[in-house]
Amino acid sequence: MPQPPFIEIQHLRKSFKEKRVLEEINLNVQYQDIFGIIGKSGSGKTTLLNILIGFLKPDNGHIVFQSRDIEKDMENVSQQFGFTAQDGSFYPKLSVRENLEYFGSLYNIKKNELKEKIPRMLKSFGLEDSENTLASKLSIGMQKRLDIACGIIHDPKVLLLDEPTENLDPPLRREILTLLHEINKKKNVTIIITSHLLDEVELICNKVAILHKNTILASGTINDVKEKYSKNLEIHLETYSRRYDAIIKELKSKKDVIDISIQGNKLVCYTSKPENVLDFILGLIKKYNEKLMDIDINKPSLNEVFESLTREIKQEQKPAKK
Amino acid sequence: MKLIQIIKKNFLLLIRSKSSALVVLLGPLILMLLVSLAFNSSSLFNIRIGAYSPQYSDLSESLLQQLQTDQFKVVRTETQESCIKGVEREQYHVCAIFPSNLNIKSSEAITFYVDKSKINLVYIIINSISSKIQIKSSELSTALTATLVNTLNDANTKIDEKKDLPTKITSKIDELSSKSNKLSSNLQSLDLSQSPAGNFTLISLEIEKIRNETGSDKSTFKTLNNLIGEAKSNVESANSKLAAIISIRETSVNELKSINEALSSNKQDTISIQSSLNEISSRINAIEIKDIQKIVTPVSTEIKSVSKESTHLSYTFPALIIIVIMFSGIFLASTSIIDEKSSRAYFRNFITPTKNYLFLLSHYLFSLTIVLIQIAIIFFVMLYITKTPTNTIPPLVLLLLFLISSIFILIGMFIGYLFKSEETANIAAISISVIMLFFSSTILPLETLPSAIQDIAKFNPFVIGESLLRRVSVFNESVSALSFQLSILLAYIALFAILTYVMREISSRRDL
Repeated sequence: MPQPPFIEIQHLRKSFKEKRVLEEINLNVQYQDIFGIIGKSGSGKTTLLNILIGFLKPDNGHIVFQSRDIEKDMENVSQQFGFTAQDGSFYPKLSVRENLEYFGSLYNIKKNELKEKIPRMLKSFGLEDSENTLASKLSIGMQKRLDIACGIIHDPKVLLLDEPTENLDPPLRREILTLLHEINKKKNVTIIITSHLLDEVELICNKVAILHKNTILASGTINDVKEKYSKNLEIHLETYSRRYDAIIKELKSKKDVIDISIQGNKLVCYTSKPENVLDFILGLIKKYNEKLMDIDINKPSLNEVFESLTREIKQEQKPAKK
Repeated sequence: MKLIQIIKKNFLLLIRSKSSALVVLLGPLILMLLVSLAFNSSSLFNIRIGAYSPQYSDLSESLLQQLQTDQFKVVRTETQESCIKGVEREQYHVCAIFPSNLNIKSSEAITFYVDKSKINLVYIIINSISSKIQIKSSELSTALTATLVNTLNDANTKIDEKKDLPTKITSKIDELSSKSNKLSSNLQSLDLSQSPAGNFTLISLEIEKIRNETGSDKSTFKTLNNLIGEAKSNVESANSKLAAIISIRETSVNELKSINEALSSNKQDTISIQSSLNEISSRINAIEIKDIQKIVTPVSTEIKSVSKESTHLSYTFPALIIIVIMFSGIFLASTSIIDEKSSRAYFRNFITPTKNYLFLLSHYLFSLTIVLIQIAIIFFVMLYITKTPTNTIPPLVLLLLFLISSIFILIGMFIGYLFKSEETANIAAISISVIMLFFSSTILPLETLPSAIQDIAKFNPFVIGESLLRRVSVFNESVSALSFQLSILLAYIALFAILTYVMREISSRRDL
C-alpha cells in the first residue's frame, strides 16, 4: 500500500500584484526524499520555498504536511521545517556558538539541551575549531556549514535549501552536497533543494521537479523523469579538425535529428533513432574526409531533459504568439 | 571623470529609492516651513496670569485691566495657594498676588510668583509684565508729580504776590531804625547836669532862727542871701532845661507814635506772609505721597520663585535628560531595527516559531536598557556635580524616565520598520527629533509660538516629558496631579506600540 505523501502541494498559485509567479503547482514529497526543484532564475523556485515554510501565503491551493494543512498549523511547521537561504542566514558579528545558541533558543530548545547539543553539532559540521570565531571570519565553506547547522539546530523533519551551492567552487560544492547527504541519511531529514545547477541535483537528489515559467513541467524520480520526458538519445562526436559546419548543415536536413549543439569540442546530436543517425554521421565523416577521434551514444542527462522540455514549451508558444 | 561618475552613481542610488529622495528633499523643506511659520514673531502668545487678592481695589482692578490684553490672559483664583500652585502645575505662567485694597499709599508690593526653572521663559515674562505694570506706574507717577508741581506753582504764585512785603517791611524797619536812632540821639542830647540847688526852706528857716537869736540885721546874712540867690538862679536854669526836655519828650512821643504805626503795618504784612506760608504749608501737607521712591515708582512689585532656588544646571536638567532620551531612543531603536532588517539573519528569525511581539519586545527592551544606562550615567554625574544625595530623587522620576524612554524608543522602532534604507531612516529620525526639539521650550519658549501651534505643540512627547520631569524633580508633584499628562504618555506608548507592530507586519514581507 503506497504511503501518503510526507508533503503534498496541491493546486498552488501565487501572484505578486499582476505578475503570476506560480501556476497550478502540484507536487508530492516523500519522507527522507532529497527533492530537487530545478529551474532557471525567476522561475518561482524561491517563492515556492517561501510558501512551503509559511513565509508567503499562496493565493490558491494548499500544502499538506503529515496530513495537516500547514496554514492551519504554522507553529508545527516552524518547528518541523528548517531553512537555509541562498545568502546564508546568520549573524556575522556573532561567533559560531553564539549563532547556534541564539537560533536554538528561538526554536525553543532549552539551555541545558543546547549545551549538550552544540558541541555535537560543531563536531558533525566540522566547526569545533571555530566555535568562538566570528561568523564573518569563517571561510565561505564554513559559513555555509554554519548556515546549515543553524537551519537544523532544532532537528527539523524537513530541511529546505535555496540554491545551497550557489557561489561555491566545485570542491566546496561537493563538500556541502556530501554534508546534505549525511544529514539526510543520518538524521532522517527530508530535504528539498532548489537549484539551477542540474548536475548537482542529479548527483544528490532522488526526486526532482522541473519548474519552468511558473509551472511544473515534470516531476518524479530522476530516472522516471528522464524516461518519461526524454525520448531522445545523445550522439557525441569529436573529429580531429573539430570543424563541424558542413556536418551540421547536412544533419539539419536529416529528418530523425531533433536538435544539434556544440558542447565543448564535441558535436552533440539529439535523436530518437540513433542507429540511423549514427550511420548518417559516419557517412558524412567519410564524405568530408574528417578524421574521427571519438563517437558514442549516451542516455540523456537531466540537463538534456530540462533543455528538451523547455524547448518544447518554447516551440509550443511560438505559434500561439502568431 | 571617475569622480563625477561616482557622484552620479550615488545620486542615482538615492533617487532610485523614492522614500529616500522624498525624505532628503522634503525633510529640510518641511522643517524650515514649520520652524519659520512657528517662530516668525518676537512676541509672546497666550501667557496665562493667575491673579489673587483678598480684596481687589480700583488700583488692582486697573492693573489687571492693563494686563488683560491679547498677549495675556488673566484668571482670578479663589485662593493664593491655588494661584501659586497653578504656576507649579503650568496652569499659569505667573501668579500675581495683589495686597488687600491695594492703593497708591500702600507700602505693600504686588508679588509675582514665577517658575524660575523655566529659565528661558521666566525673564521674558517678567520683562513683559514689568513693562505692562510700568505703563500704569508711569501714569500714577505722572499724576503724583502733577499734584506736587501744582502745589509748587500755587506756592510760587503766593510767594510772588507777597514777595514785595519783606522789602516793604525792611524799608520800614530801616525807617524805624533811623527814627529810633534819632530819638536815642535826642534823648542823649538832654542836659541833665544840675548844680545842687540846696534846701531853700531849711536855709530860710535857719537864717530866720539865727537872725531871731542874734537879732542881727539883714546885712549880716548878705552872703547867705547871695548864695540863696545863686541857688535860685540855678533852679530857674533847671526849669528852662526841663522845659527843653519836655519839648523833646513831646517830639519823642510823636516819633514813637510813628514807630508804633510802622510796627503795626509791619505786623499786618507779617500776618499776611504768615497766612500765605500757612496756606502753602497746608497745601504741601495736603499732598498724600511725598515719598520720592513712591512718586517715582508708585506701584512696587516683587518677584518670587515658586521653585526652590537652584542652579541653572538643575533647572535645565529635565530638558537635558529628555534631549538625551529622545536622540538616543529614536536613533538607537531605528538603527537597531534597520541593522536587523538588513541582517542576513532577519529571514531566519521570521521562520522560527517565535511570536512577532517577542522580537518587538526584545528590541524595545534592548534599546530601553541602553537608554536607561545612559540616563543612569547622566544622573550620577549630575548628582555628583550638584552634590545632591541620591535618595532625594523622587521615585516618580524613575517611572517618568521609563515612560518617556518608551515613547521615543517606539517612535525609533516605527521609523526603523517604516523605511527601508539606513540613510532614509536616519534622515527621518533627525527630522522628527529636530521638529520635536524645535517645538519645545528648549530653544525658544513655546509661548513665542502662535496659540494654535502652541496647542498642538503641547502634545509633543518632548514637551510633555520635559514638563512632567520638571514638575516632579523641581516641585515634587504627585501622580494624581500629573494624571492627565501621564495618560497622554501612556496613550502615545499604546499608539506607537500598535503602529510599530503593524509596520513590522507590513515591512517584513515588503523588505525581504
